[in-house]
Amino acid sequence: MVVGEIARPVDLLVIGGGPGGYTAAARAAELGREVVLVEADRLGGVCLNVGCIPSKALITLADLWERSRAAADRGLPVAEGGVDLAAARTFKDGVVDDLVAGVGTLLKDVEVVQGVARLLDDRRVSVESGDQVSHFQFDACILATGSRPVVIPGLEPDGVRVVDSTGALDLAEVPGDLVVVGGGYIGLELGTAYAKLGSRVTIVEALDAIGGGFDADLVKVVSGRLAALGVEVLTGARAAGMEDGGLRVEHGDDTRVLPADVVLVAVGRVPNVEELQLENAGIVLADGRIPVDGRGHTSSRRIWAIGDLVAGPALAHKAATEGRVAAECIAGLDAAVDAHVPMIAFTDPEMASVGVTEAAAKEAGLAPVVGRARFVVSGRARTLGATDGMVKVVADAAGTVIGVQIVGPEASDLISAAAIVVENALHVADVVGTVHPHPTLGESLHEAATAALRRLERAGAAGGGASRA
Amino acid sequence: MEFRFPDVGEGLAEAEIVRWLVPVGGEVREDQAIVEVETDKSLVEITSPVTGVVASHGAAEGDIIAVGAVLATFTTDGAAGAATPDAAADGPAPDVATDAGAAAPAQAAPPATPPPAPAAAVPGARPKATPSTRGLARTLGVDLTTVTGTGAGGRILDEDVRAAAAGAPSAPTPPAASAPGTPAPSAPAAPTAPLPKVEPPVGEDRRVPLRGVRRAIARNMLQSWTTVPHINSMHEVDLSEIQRLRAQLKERGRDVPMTAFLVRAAALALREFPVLNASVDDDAEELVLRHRVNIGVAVDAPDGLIVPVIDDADVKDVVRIGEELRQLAAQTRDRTVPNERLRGGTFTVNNYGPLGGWFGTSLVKPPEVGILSIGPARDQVVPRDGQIVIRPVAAMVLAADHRVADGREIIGFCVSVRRMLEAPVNLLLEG
Repeated sequence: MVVGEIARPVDLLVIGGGPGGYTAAARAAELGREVVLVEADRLGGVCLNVGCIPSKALITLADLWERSRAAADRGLPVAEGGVDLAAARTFKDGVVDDLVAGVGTLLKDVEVVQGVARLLDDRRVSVESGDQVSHFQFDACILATGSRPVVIPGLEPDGVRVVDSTGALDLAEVPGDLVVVGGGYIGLELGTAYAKLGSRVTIVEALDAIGGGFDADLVKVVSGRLAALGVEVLTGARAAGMEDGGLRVEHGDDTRVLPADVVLVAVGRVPNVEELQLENAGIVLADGRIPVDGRGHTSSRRIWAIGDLVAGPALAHKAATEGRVAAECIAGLDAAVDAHVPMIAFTDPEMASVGVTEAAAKEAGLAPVVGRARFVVSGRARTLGATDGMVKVVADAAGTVIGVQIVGPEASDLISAAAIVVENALHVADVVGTVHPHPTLGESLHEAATAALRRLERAGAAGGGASRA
Repeated sequence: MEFRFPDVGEGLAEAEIVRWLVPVGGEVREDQAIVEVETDKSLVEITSPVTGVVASHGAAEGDIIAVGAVLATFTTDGAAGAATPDAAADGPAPDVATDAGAAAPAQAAPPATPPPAPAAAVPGARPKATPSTRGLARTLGVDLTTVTGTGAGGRILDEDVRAAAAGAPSAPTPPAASAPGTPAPSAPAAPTAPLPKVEPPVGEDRRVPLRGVRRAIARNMLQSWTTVPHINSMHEVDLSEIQRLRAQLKERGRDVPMTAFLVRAAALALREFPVLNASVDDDAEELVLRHRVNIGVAVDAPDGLIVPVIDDADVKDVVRIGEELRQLAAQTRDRTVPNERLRGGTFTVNNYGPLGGWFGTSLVKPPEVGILSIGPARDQVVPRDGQIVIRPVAAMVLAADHRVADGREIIGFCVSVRRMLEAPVNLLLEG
């Protein structure tokens, strides 16, 4: 006799309903596959429910508040009182609810199953939902369970005094003293937002620089703005634990206690692999991630992995791209994960990067040609009252644009145009030859490309494309 | 401190280390399971006697360890010095402008295999081509790193990719110029386009040691295949009556599995054909006719088939047998089957119906003489009383050791089982 239930056969089983998982499921259904998506919590994943989207609601509110108070010299009456966090939360929850419902619409041809999925072997999973267990046998499976914040021992989030990035979005009131542990982009974004809302903010970073690896030229602009907002930044400092008065921090030989009503811990994310029981499918982690090839295929013939589970930054758009590629490969199409992943941070001003930085290009011995354009000379930036920052265009010696970095107003939106340039290996002359409308922030990309082209011309190495400008 | 392998009962002398649950250097709490060992066919977890750090393992996975031997050593004072993630652990990866989250926590296990090369922005390593051109290259199986671009700044254009594909060594070489007027050889008009490249999946072959239950099965099956001359007898059984009876029992709150009926029918038929309820003693060249009828039932367990035993199935009713089967199935899943339930079988039955298939042969489990298998019930068109009817029919196969059993016993046994399954009242009355 055989123990166990009959497993239901399915073409594609997607585990996880975040940006990677739902994109993969929707694409595979579009390509005619029968798809079951298993989600343990709520469709949309971290990004939609407790990440990118709700944090942008908070960051935008804080920015509106701070800028409106700083616009008296432009004719705006000074706002009085303070922000209404309860109303802000209602607005944020409404946005999230609408978007989650939108994901449901996107998945109209996908069967969504609520529960926790575990691999039984390399072609079956069990899905546990309450006390119900069901089984599926898949032709292909995409693992997309995402990640969660790292917890520092002694600084476990309690949702009140110690919070992670999720808890930071749901504070009942603006803390008087906020200590942010981690100077990566999440810590900088939320620290800046609360500083604008009135908190005294200290950022504690263990490395000797903040900025989560963004180009130093970009981080310098953000650091200047943090100082102007009264945010203290401690680098090379280690959070050692909570005390009654606040957070104990070791800074060189010095130990001090930073007063803290709330401590926000944002020191990175770990992949959610434990529940999956990868060992049952013979999948072995490398550096804590699931090894995959350039299409997302794991070592197991039927199993794919995407997003935060695999190498690379934990970003929604990276996960979504990998999800689309995996779904297309499973459906028999040619696809590969071979595109640059732009990085953005909603700091003040915003930072954005695509392709390689000047420093990385130099390190690789590429003799890059760099063109810069500062927003202080941009008519549009001046009328916005947001003149901090610049656009950097990095080209190789032949003039092909291999990277663009932006710090400044709307950098997160401007980077998409730059991404098209880099992804399509356009020459700086191609950018210069493209008319950019006036007066816009996008003109600064044109300006930076022009500066790079002039340098190339001066170096006499402009290549065939330059003459077309 | 040293921790010696404890006597886990059952008069155990030794056991096999199946799996270490805590590596050397790993922290343990008191009573946390540290190792799985296998005794006969039950799997036992041994728990730590202390809270501390595992300093060494006394035996490797797959080794046999004797009761009283050092199983592991612990240090109990170093727990506070164990690695804790540092706030610094979230530093960005050096070559990509990364989210702080990219880093794994400090206590992550060391990588067992090198990570694959990510599609990272390694300057200069990227072919200069648009996404659509890269897609064309994938379709045509062209490696872009070998293509010279003719576009601005060395950009690779679609025509560069097509030219590379046409010039690929796999393309047929044109025939040598022939004299004018000579008819061209009857080759296809266009050169054969190269087939799209198929990417092999990442990874490599894995060697999985045969341990525990799997090793026991491997040895038993090899012995069976190489020492027992098998003979098979195949029958089709109409399960209409059994299904009706099961439905009636279910209405009365008794959910009796199909396997219970098969066990019961086999047990009764074995009394008619005692040569099949026997063991072969190879050394003595004797057949041992067993006085009890103990039926082993093959159960699909996580590590492989195991065969718990229903003792004296010829004197138990089907409801009782069904209850025992349920218990054994649950214990098998949890790997808590008591050792005594794994011994003393005199015959084996195997219901592979849930797995599918039709006729399926099995290997006798030495030193037993027979094994009876049944497949899934399927609707089949069958003649009954001159009419064509549809009945649930299952395929049933007896495999037996031909050294001691001949067609007379083997077929006779199967016919007897079939009759009881087709008229199950007999199953209820006997015994």
